[in-house]
Amino acid sequence: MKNSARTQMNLSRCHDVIEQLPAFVEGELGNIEAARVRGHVEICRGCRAEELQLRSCLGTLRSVAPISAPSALQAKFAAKVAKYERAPARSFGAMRWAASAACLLLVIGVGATVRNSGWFHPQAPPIVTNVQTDNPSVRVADSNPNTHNSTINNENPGSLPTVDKQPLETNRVAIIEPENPEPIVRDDTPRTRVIRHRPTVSNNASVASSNSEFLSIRAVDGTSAADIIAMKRRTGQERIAAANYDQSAAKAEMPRPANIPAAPGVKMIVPERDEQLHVGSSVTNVHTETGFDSRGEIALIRIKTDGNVKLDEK
Amino acid sequence: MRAGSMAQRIGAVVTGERASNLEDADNYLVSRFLDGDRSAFDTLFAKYQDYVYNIVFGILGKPDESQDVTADVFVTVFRSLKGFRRGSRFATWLYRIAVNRAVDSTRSARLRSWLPFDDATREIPDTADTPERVFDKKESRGIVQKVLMKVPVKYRDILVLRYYQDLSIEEISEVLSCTISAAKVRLHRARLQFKEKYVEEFGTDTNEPFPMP
Repeated sequence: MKNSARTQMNLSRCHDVIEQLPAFVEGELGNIEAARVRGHVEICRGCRAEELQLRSCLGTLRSVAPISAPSALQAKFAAKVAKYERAPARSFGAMRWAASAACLLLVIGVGATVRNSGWFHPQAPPIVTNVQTDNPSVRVADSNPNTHNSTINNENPGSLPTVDKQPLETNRVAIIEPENPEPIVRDDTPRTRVIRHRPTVSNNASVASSNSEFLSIRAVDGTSAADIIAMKRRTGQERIAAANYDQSAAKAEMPRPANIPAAPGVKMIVPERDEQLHVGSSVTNVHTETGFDSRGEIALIRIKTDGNVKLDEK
Repeated sequence: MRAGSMAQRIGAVVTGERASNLEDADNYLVSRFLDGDRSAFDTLFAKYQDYVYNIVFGILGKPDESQDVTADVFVTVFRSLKGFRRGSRFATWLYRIAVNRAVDSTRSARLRSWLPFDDATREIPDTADTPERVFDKKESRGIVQKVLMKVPVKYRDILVLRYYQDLSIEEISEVLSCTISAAKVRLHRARLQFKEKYVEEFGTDTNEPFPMP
């Protein structure tokens, strides 16, 4: 037991001594510490061997003769200095100003591009659409079913709208105007309802208008009720944005039309109930209309808000 | 800074002068250069080229690259001497630039590509000793450099400053921009690393001077 304790104590002492050996070999320890280490290495074979190794290698390191710089160094330095002095003076401050100016121009250019591209509308335009009801919030513009100015383009959603000559028996053409038209404000506030995946362009639904500028929202995949694409079209340019609006809640209570015309594309637009869309801390009333295609599937969704059109462009 | 002993070792211009006088002389030369006297910088170059080259060569281990980097160090000093604070030590500032440039060079793929460093032992410049001593020192230098190149750079630079440049721990902490305690710890680990690599390379060739009990 005594031997075991002594061995343990020696091991601990060896560890401490080995930690101090480099400083001891280099003469950097104080007198007391140096005496303690010296006393230990005189009786400990392992620490003695360690000390000799350290003395050997550090002695070799210390004995290294300094070398003189090559004679060609001065010429090389002179050449580099001459090259530096020939170079045009470019101060760091000037370069910083140039970089700042370049960044400013870039920002201005990007801003102009974004504005011209139609991502930012100064005012929500009226939506021209087909409705199937006498909703008091809409203003009837034309009751003749043969002169619809709203239609579905199944082939090319990016093209300008075409006139659907086929009358819808029970529909009337109406212009839905925002009750409180305000500029569309890009709002980065997180929504309470978020579409999880990026919408894709689809040919199965589109919105047409007699105006060159309009805002509408359409469903890409009505059956899955997953995506709603906010599409803004302005002078032929088109941008697709994701609306932070979940269609599934509205779809659950969506009435199914009893009589679906056989024509392709959207044949019936049904105004749905109004909803409240929570946008950040504010609440926006949203009026939704749903268009059904010939198979009875959702092909078009339009949303009208009572104020700012709360869309999150992406 | 033990500049006197180092100056004697490498036969520098300022042999025998005290460190404070050296600093005064350096500051005087810097002032003259900033006042437009170009020859003052030539004097500084002549005075410190061997010091800087030893640091750079110790870290890089390659004569050609070391010469290039040393020239770059002095160009950097030449360009940025206006930003040198006159109250601080010129030598410390210069060594810091040298260490940083050399360490940066080791990080480049170009310099890494020529590992291992057998060439480092080939071109050792002459010194003023007798042929036998020169041979021994060249051998020693080659051995040390070979081992040094196996030590990580973060330990290599402190070993070079301590053993090649003979700097004190306070001066090393200034050059490496760290505290004295950090410099001590780093030097301790560097010594252990060097010993480990040395033993790996050459084995434990230590004769027992006396029989152990």
